[in-house]
Amino acid sequence: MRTRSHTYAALALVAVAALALAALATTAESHQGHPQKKLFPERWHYQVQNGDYAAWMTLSTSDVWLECDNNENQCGTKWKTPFDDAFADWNSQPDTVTFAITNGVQNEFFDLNVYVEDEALGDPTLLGIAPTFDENDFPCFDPSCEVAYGLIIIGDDAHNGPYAGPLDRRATLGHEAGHIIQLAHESTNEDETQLYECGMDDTGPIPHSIMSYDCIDPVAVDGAGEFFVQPWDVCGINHAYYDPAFDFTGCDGTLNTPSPTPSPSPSETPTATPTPTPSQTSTQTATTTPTGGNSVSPTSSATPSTTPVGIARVWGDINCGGGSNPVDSLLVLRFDAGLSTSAPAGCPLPGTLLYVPFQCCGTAWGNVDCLSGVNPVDSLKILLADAGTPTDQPAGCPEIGDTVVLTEDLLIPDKPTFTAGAAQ
Amino acid sequence: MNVVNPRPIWLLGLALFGLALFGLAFAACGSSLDDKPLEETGQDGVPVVHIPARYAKTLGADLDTLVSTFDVAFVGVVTGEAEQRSELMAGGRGELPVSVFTVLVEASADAAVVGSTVEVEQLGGITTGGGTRTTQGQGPVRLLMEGDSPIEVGERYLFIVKEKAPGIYRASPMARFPIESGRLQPAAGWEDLGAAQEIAGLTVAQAMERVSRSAD
Repeated sequence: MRTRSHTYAALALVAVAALALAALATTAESHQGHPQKKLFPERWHYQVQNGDYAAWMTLSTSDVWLECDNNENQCGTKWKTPFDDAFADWNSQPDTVTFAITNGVQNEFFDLNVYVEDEALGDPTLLGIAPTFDENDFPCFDPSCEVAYGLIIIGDDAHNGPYAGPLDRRATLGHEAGHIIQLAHESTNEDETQLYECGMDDTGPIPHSIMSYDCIDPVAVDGAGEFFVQPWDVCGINHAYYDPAFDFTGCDGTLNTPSPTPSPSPSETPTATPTPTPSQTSTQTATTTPTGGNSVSPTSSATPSTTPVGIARVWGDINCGGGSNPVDSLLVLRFDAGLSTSAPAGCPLPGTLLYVPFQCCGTAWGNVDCLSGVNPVDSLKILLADAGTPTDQPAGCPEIGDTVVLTEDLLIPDKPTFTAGAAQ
Repeated sequence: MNVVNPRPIWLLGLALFGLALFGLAFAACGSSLDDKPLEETGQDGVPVVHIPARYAKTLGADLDTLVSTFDVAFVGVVTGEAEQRSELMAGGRGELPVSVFTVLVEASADAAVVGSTVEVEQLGGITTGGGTRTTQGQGPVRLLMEGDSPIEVGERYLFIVKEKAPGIYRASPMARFPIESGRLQPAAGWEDLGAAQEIAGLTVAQAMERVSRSAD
C-alpha cells in the first residue's frame, strides 16, 4: 500500500509537471490560429529576470566594422547609412528584442558584431552570413545550444550591379539581423533546394518576410525589392522571445501598437521600457526614402559612455554587506522566485546588468558562476563558497570572494541603473 | 481498521497517468513547432546542417560574369580529404570548420598546373559543436553553407575558384560543377543560374574551351 501511494504521488507530480510544461509551451512558443513563422531552434542565453521583460533581449551591438576597400571612410559611404537604417527598422518594431547600438562604439565581445569585408569568408559570391555561437565558440545549430553571441559578415564586393544600391545593402543587413534573432528563411525549406517566390512556400501562400530571398531581392533580379521588416517577421520574434506586452503582434499581418505593461522591476529607479512605434507594413514599397544617420536612439537616461565609473565589490556579496554569505544565497533565491529584493545605496540589485572586467561584457549581478543568469545554482555556489568548498568557476569568471571592479554597463541603454556610492 | 476501496484509487491512478500523457504530448506538440529537423544525411551517414547564407545570384547569371568573379578554373578529380581545420571569423571570435580536399588537376587553361595536386577548400565540415550536442548523444553533424553540398572524394568537378595562396583555392557552391559520364552538370540547387545552363551538358573539353573564352 505504501509503494502504491508513492506511485500515485509520482504520477501526480508528473501530471502537474507535464501540465505546467504544456501551459508553458502554449503560452511562450505556440498558439493556434495561424501558420508559424519559420524559426531556428536555438535561443539566446538571456532569461527574463524577475519578470522584467524590458531588460530582456537587449543585445549589445557594435557600430558597424567598416573593413572593405582598405579604407574605412570609403567603405562607410556605402554601408553606414544602410546599417543604421536596417537596425533602426528592427528597433522600431513591437517586440522585445532591441539591438543596443551607440554610434562609434565597437567591442568584439558585444552580443553582436557586424563586419563589412571585401569578401565574406573568402567567397566573392556571398552577400552575407550570420552565424551564432555558444559560449565555447561553437556554431549554434540545435535546440540544445544557448546563443552567446552572433556575427554578421557582409561581402562588399558581392554587392554590385543590382545589389549595389543602399536599400539593397540595407536589405542584406536587415535579413542577416533576422537570423541573429533566430528567424529562418521563409522562402526555402530545410529538406529541399527549391527556392519559392515571395509570399509562397511549399504550403501555398504565406506572408511576405525580410527572411524571404525573393521578397528582398532587387526588382532587377525579379525580386520584390522589399528591404524592410514585415509584420510576419515581428510575429516570429514574438514567438521566439515572447513578451506579454507585445503578445503575438504581427501574426495577423499587421503591426498594432500595444501598450507595454509596466515591468515589475525590482529596481528603485525606473526601468526603460520599449516604446513601440508604428512601422512599415507590407504595403510599403521600395520607393520609401531611407532615413539617414544613426537613428538608434537610446531611450534611457543613462548616458552612453565608453568609460564607466568603477565600483569595487566582492563577487558573491549580493547585498554588499561585507562578504559573501548565506544571506546572499537567500537573496539570489528570492530573486529567482520573483520575490522582491532590496539593496543599500550603491549596491546593485540582483539581476542588474553590469560590466564585469573579468568577462567580456555584461552579466547580471547575482549570476556568480557567469552562466545562464541568476538562478538557484548561483545560490548553491555561494553556500559552497561560504563552506570553503571550491565552486569550479568557468574560465574568466571571478572566484566568489574576489574583489572586482564592477561598472554599470552604460553601453546598454535600456538596463536598470543604480546609484553609485558607498563604494567599498 | 480502515478499509480501502481499491477501485477509486485505481481510477485515480489511471486518470493521473492519462493526464500526464496528455500534458506531455501537448507540451511536445507545442515545442516542436520551431524545432528544426536535421534535414539530410550525407553519403558518410553524417547529418547535414546548413548555415544560412545569401548569395549574389547575379554573379552566376552568365558564364562570363562567373568566370570574371573568380581567379582560376580547372577540371580535377578529388583524391582525398587532406584535413579539416577551423577558421576564425572576423574579429577573431567564433570558428567555422573548413574542409580541405586534394584535387588532381586534369585540365586547365594553365598547362603548367595540369597533372599537379592542389588543395581546394570548402567552407564547412564535421563538428560536434553547439556545446551540448555530444552530451545529448546526438553525435556529430556536417555543417555546410546554405546551398552547398559536400564535395565528394572520387568525383570530378569543374572548379571555378578563388586563389588563396599558390596551390590553395576556395570553392563556392555556385561555381562548382560535377562531371558525370564525361559531361558537366549544374550543382544541385543552382540549376536556374544562367552560367549553369550555359555549361550543363558540355564535355570537359567543350567546357574548358568555353571557360577560356570567358576568361579572355
